Amino acid sequence: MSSGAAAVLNGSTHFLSTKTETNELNRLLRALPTGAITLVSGYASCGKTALMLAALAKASREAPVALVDTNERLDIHSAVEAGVDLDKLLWVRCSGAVEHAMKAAELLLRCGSFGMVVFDIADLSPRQLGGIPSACWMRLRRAVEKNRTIFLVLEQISSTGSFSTAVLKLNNQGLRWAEKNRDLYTEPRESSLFQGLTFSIEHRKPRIFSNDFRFNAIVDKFS
Amino acid sequence: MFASIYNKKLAEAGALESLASLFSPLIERVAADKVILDVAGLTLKEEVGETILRSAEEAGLKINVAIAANPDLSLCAAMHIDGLTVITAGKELEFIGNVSLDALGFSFPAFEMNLLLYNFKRRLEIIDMLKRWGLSNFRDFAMLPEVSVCERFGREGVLLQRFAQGRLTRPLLVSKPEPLFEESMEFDYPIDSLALLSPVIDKLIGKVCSLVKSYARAVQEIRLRMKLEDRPDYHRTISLPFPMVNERTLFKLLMLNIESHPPASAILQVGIAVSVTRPRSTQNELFERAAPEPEKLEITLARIATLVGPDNVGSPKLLDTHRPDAFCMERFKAPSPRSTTKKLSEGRALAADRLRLAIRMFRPPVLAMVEESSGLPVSLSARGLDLNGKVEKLAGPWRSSGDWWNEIAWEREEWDIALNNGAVYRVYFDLRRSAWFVEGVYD
Repeated sequence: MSSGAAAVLNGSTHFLSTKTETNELNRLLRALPTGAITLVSGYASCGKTALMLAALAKASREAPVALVDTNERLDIHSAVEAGVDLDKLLWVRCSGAVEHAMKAAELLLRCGSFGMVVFDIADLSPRQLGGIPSACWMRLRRAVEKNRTIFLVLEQISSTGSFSTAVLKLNNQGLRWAEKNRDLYTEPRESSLFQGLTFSIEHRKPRIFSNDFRFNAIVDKFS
Repeated sequence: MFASIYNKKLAEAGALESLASLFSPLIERVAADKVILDVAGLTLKEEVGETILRSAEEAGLKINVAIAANPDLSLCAAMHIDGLTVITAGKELEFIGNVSLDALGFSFPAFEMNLLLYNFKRRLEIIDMLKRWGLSNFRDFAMLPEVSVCERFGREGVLLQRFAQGRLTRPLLVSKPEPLFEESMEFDYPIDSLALLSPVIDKLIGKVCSLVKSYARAVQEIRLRMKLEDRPDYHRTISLPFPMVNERTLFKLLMLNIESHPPASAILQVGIAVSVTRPRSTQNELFERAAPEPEKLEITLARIATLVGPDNVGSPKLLDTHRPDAFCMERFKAPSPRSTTKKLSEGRALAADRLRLAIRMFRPPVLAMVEESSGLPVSLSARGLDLNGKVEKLAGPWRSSGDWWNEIAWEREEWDIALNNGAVYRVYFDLRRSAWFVEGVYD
């Protein structure tokens, strides 16, 4: 466990130092495998989109990147705040059409022109996810194996099964507010501030790091 | 023999070329007011010159015409002597001998074509020196001994002296107008299948590309026109992000475009026309990351556009407004290797190193039911999101408004609301519509 993460768990502080966190983040992003499917999973408000944008920002410094957005969830302000170079970002909006999104992701992987391709299916219903045939994942895996692209799949629950080479599971470890223990019903109407959340990352396969990661994601409008 | 036409007054663009084309197919367009034509095949040079002058007068042009043995001599004479001048061999100085030395500072094609004379500054130095010696015109300069000129000014001086003597010759740079790069085919019977159309398009594109390549040009825009049965003509235009001439790529782009916008009726005739430009030339550096193959990327983008629609593929750009979620889509262009390795600004680099909480937007925002107590939301439900929960913590409201001067005016109170399911939502109350909406979820 990192010293920063230990500090959080011991309760001595709520924040990791910026430097420690940056190093940890870079270490994690550098370890993302190329030519393989990496699954990033977690429920709502677990930091998966923050992590995805950080990865896109890092990759977009060197090469064009692509985001296949099945449900058009990308917030452009968040992407800019995360440091994504919009000129190098190809955004494919699929209006909820899973088949088109799968096909678009496959085309982008076969093109081989992108340093990173992100396939966001985090808002699909379990029924829609269950409707994706295994052959599609197999095709995506074959497509990505032929080049040096980092391929991230964003999901709430894992549906890629055995096709993913690396799995990162994100868990919400707590929200950060400017005021502590504020009673909603008794205190006067005053603005508290939502400042961000703490989340942990378990890397389920393969175990390339000895410890799990823990990060603080801050809300841009108050940073 | 060459004839030069110099237009003394401003005229319509192309007027001189039209006039010159009546007398010779070999024309060099020097400038808008100067053309040189090869009249070697024509006898009775004076008669030719007079005919040119007469035709110009009929066309309303005021010109000088000079006929001489080399192009620049005739041009120089046309620029400095009014009316018609016919210079016979050996008598050049009789005609251009009085031309001022300052004319050597003009931009004659012979100077542009010769590396030694291309340097305008050097030419001015020589003219200045000649004037300080007391020389004033071409005749004075032409009479100097060539060896002495060479000793004093070098090779440039000798070439300039030959020009002043009317002996500096060069080939004529014939301006050949580019043809129309287009091909078309009419069918014996109407065809209503893309499978039948495909080989025809392939053949037409192949022909057009061969023609484009023969002129060392590349395609910038493709225009497709089809005559349809009982329907108005079908037109498609594809603007390419960079010039290309690969016929396979162009064929695929065209077919993908037709597939996404199929013609409404059977096709009677198909025509392809292209706009051309100079081919793209790039020189990559040894240690740079290889850039994406642009043709392959363009075809991929066209295929994806066929799937999801052209408006849903591209690079997002923020609009200069405070209106929430205001952005537009722009065409995605493959960055060049140089731009991929450019350094980030300090602020952006710092932003990229820190983890920012993002929001996942719901487009359009989802209508919500909010229960309030003492003016604060206490529960939130949104049928569109299958969401129903009690508010555990909240922050807000933040009021904002804008665009009140037009029909897209907006005014809202924004809240960050944590529900008992552990998620934090951005919710707002639309003051104009008096309704709650869930805009997104922090993630």
